[in-house]
Amino acid sequence: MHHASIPGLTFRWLLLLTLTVLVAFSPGNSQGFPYLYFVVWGVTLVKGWIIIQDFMELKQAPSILRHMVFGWLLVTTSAVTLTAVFG
Amino acid sequence: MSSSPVNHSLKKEIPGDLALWFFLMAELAAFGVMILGFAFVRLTEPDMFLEGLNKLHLTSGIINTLALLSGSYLAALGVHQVRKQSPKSHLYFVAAAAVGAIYLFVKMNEYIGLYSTGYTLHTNTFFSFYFFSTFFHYLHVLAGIVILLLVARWLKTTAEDSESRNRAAEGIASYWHMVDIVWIVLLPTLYLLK
Repeated sequence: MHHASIPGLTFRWLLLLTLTVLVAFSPGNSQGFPYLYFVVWGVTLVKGWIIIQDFMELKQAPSILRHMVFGWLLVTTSAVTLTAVFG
Repeated sequence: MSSSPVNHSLKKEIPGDLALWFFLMAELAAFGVMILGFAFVRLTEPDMFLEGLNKLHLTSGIINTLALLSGSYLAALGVHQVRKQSPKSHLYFVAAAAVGAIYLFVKMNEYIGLYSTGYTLHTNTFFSFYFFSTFFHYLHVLAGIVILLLVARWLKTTAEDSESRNRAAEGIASYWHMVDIVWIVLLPTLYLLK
């Protein structure tokens, strides 16, 4: 089975930390700019995808399991984002 | 009883045990219901929700996210080290538990801060959901830390075969990543989407 290498994991970890800090402290985060809601939505999906694929190692798992976990991420993240936009 | 080729392939490629994944999916379903409930409250009572969000501190949310992501990274490295049969592999799981403890400390401070200013489970629907869902998550982090330490101790002291060691390491790492992924969704729900 092919797993992410240690340098690969380190790169992904640093990317996750950077995305977290950049989105949290980006200008306008607390001022209700709708475009930022979708940036947060996209970044959350990317972060979740990295964890599912490379940290959880579901890249090698049967696709049904990977799709169920990513489906959970997609449904919950979309629900909280859409209710923030339209609520 | 012989297993079919399909079952064999499923067991071979899933990190940890198949039974663990039934448990993890059930956990995700429980958290999913809570998060969807949160979203529904926001839709029905947006002003109350926004007022509640503004009482939470973004810095706490960010520190906790960085701590859990770092714990996940260390657990993933630990799995690599166990596969390489490194004698120091248990230290990665101890480090993941130590980083997880930062989350417990910061979250408890946040609870104490809110409680001391009069916000409790009974304040309104927002805080009922907030305390219930985050404390449920808190208990999962606490359980994860205990199991990480137990697995680390077992890895250090046992002379089990490499297959058992790999499965134990993959199992606790998968649990920790599940806890992490739930927090990845709770972060925007509670701190970012204002």
